[in-house]
Amino acid sequence: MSVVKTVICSIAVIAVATVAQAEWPVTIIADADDTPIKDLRNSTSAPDLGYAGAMLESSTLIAEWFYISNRVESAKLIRDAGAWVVRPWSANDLWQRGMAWATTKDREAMMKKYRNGVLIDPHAYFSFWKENGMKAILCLEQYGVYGDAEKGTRVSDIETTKKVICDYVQWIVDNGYKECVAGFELGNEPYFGNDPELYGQRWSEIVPAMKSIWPEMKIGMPLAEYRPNDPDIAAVRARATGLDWVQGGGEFSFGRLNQWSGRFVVAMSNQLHNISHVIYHFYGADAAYGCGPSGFARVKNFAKVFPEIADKRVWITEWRERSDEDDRCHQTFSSSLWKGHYLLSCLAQPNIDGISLHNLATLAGGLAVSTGSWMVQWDPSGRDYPDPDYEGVPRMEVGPSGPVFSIYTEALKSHPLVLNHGNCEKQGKDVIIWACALYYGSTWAQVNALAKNKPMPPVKGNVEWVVTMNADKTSLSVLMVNSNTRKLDMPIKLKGVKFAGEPVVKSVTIAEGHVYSHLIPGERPLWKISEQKLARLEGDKAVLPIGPNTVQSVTIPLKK
Amino acid sequence: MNGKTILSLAVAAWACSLHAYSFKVKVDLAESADTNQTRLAVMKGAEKASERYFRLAEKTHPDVIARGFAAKPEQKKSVLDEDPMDAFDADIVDDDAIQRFDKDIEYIVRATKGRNSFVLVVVNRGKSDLTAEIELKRGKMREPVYRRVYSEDGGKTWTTMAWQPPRASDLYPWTVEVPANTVQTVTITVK
Repeated sequence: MSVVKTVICSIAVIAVATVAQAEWPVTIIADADDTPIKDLRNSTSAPDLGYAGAMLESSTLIAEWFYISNRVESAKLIRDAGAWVVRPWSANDLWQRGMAWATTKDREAMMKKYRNGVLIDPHAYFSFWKENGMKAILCLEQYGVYGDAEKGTRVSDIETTKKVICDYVQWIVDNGYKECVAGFELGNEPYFGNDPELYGQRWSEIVPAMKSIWPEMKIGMPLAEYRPNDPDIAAVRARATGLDWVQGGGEFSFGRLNQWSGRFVVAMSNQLHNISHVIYHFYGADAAYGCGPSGFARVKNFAKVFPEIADKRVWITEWRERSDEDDRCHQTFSSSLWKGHYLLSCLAQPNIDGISLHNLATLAGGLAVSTGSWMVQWDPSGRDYPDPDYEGVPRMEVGPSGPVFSIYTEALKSHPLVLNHGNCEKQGKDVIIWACALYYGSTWAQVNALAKNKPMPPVKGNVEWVVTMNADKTSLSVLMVNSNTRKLDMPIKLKGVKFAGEPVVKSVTIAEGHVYSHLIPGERPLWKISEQKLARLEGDKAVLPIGPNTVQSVTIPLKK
Repeated sequence: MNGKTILSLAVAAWACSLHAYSFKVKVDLAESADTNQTRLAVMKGAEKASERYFRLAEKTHPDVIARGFAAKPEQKKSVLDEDPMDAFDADIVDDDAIQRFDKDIEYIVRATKGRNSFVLVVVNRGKSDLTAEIELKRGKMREPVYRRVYSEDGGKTWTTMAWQPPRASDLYPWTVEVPANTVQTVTITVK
């Protein structure tokens, strides 16, 4: 290369770098006149960011503590963990058992019968959800129902199954619980089963009967979209040795799951008009897996191949950065920061409504629960944390995801218009969603280096944000996560409105040096939650500071 | 970084090198339990916060299987050649032997009845940050759980912090931080 060319190239590189630097960090634009990305008032699962599970899956002891004997404490836990949206599994079985439990004259016999099944009067949890403004996505199962719930006998004929599910819907309507039902899910991960045609045929008989009772109800059908080596496949295979595809040997593959979904759509073709949502479960936060941009792409790709479901909205009723092969990684604050990114990405997807972190009742989710040991869900090594303070009564406290959900959902409950999404590098709908995957990948690189006593590579953090407003546009709330290790001042510019008051910053951050430390339940948390007012803002420009390793909301009064 | 900062750091590093050292804690889970349940003396003001952690350790790990002081660096080799239990027992150790130890850093090792876990209860009443190197006779250690009582204001107020460091390192023996002016229990499960 000649000297002249070298000089020109150098000048060009410097110029590009200078321009790039001048634009960094990108200004947050909050345009009150913009068409919102979405309006959460249209979602039955608003504020949409919630949890799988409902404290109804572990034991009768926990369910009774939560919904009967400690409702005031439970309401506070719900607030502090931002658990406004829940999702009980096998909701119709739970309801049948509960109704029998409420009326039986022999509770002792039922307790013996259902040693591993939760027994609780359904009014206890439905009334709690109603009192606290919560929403539930009810996951139904139609493989079979209780013929006699008191005795525990099962039947699977379609007529009885349909009647039980419809009785359940009718009970919800008759008791005024419609307002706390976000919708119904047609089975939990049925794609691990074998016969999508039969599965679709049975739901095709049940769904119209359900709709005749409650025509406006939302119904979601589960679909699978997997990729090779997806962590969830191995995890499910490890714990589900009774499934045919394991016994058959060699037949199982991610492709088979995806085929199942297509065949299920075809089998349900006469009932698609009654389906409002498609449902996905995403596990794995590496770039190739579901929890991130690849997951969003899979949803779009499936809709291209099966355009008959393209108009359906989306629920992600289970998600997590790892599946059961690593349940303990969720107890680090780096996991909370990653969730801070992923939640914002989902919030900014126009077609996605409720998303449910798996799960509320374990250390992977919003609450830590102890009945002698703090439960790490299905840890194959049994590494639940011992609870030396346990004295025979369940203990519950907010887990490491809780503050993130609490900060975001509190803002969203009063600011339902989602207006803009970006990060300190870019804004626009296609590129920003990679922030969560890039951060996640770099955290694993750092943790691996730590374990080998090698120098840590830099973290690929970012400041990601979502702008929200209230319906009358008198208040703005910017949801933000900073996964970098340094503070950043994010410029913000308003259009169509002006600042008119003091910003209130609600944040959670972690003690220095502990972003990868496992939090120990039962002890003082390593994270720090704070709320502070900043100096009054006027005009249309400002700077929103965010500290390192921090999730926050900044809420500011506006005027026209 | 200017010259003054570099000089300050260099002086600090030199000062640390004079005081900071590591000491070894030998753990043999086959050791029979010591019936002496005396608690470690803690810094003034730290009693209440320490009490809970001591109580938790005693509840979950009832058997005392080792106790001792940190070996002073100049005596390190000779002390470590001895059995720490024999060396520490006041009835049989003469005054000279006691001088070999830094009595600011005192520890007890407790174990579960099933001997599948142990806890190092350690008090550093001194002003030097130390590390303890745990030598486990049999088995492999998992990630430790730290429960620490510390003060950020020179001992006026005391607070607690608990955490588990990320992922097990393959390094052996295990190195446990014992910062100045702290009380801590470090629980380690063994597989």
